[in-house]
Amino acid sequence: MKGVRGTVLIGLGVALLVAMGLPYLASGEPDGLESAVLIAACDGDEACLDELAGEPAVAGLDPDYASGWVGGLAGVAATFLVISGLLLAVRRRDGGQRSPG
Amino acid sequence: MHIPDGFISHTPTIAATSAASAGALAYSLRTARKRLQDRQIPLVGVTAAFIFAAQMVDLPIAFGTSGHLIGGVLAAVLLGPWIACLVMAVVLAVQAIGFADGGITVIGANLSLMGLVGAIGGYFLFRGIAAVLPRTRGALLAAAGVSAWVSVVAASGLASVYLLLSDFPTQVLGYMVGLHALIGILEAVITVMVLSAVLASRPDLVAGADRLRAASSAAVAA
Repeated sequence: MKGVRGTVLIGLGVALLVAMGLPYLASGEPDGLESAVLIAACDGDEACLDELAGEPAVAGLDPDYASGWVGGLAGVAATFLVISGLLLAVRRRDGGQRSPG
Repeated sequence: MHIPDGFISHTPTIAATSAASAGALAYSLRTARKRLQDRQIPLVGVTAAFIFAAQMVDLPIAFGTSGHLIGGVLAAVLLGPWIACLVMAVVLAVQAIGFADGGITVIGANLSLMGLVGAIGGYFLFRGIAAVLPRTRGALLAAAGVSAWVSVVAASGLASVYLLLSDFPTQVLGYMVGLHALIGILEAVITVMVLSAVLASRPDLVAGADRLRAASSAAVAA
């Protein structure tokens, strides 16, 4: 396998651009699941949809930040770090040794 | 398609989807420990980061409905189905904990849709389609695009079953599958675009392109 540093840096750059820049252009319309429930169970009433969805058990970031560039940066960084950390930890469980071949 | 906490009131659905997702995750972690090389870890990280980013971008589809990439087939063709399942799990966890996007109590249900159906199911469909097509880049992209579309529609069907078990009206199934047949086109287009960009620059990093490599080395040998 050739080096991957360039690919990783380009990929992270694209991910950050998408996550920090594009959500401002994103549609605020309901997604497919919300639309289906809105039509089938709520007769188009958004308050009914919110009531069915309930309060999230974990509130997370303030929505004003979550949907802006701060949320994009935080989410991309967290995703990259969490899965990399998880995989490093899993790989280290066999002592970090790899038998040749 | 991120199910919020309040939609699933049927406890056996939560129990069964949590158990299935936990099983798939355990197998995925075992696969990562055995097969993944340390230098591949940043590639998995960057795939997960890209899928998180792409899932933030809701594009208008039709009928006042928006949709975004799920990325299950994309991740699976790049990384293989089990590592892709881990990717989807981490993306869902970050969204549920940090962004109130998809409920934490239904994270197993959401992983069953996007990881089990989206990544793992989508991957085996991709392999099945690719096996009967010629070993060309175009055929590989076509197999990925079709699998991406089918995986989204299938996941929407399964999500509807969860909703029906939680006493949602029957019509939800038709609307879910109908709307996701459109959203799935977006999934197929983005999946094919990203895969063709990676195949053009670093085909060696696409796990699902092994048949292409076998074909080209056979051509070189001949």
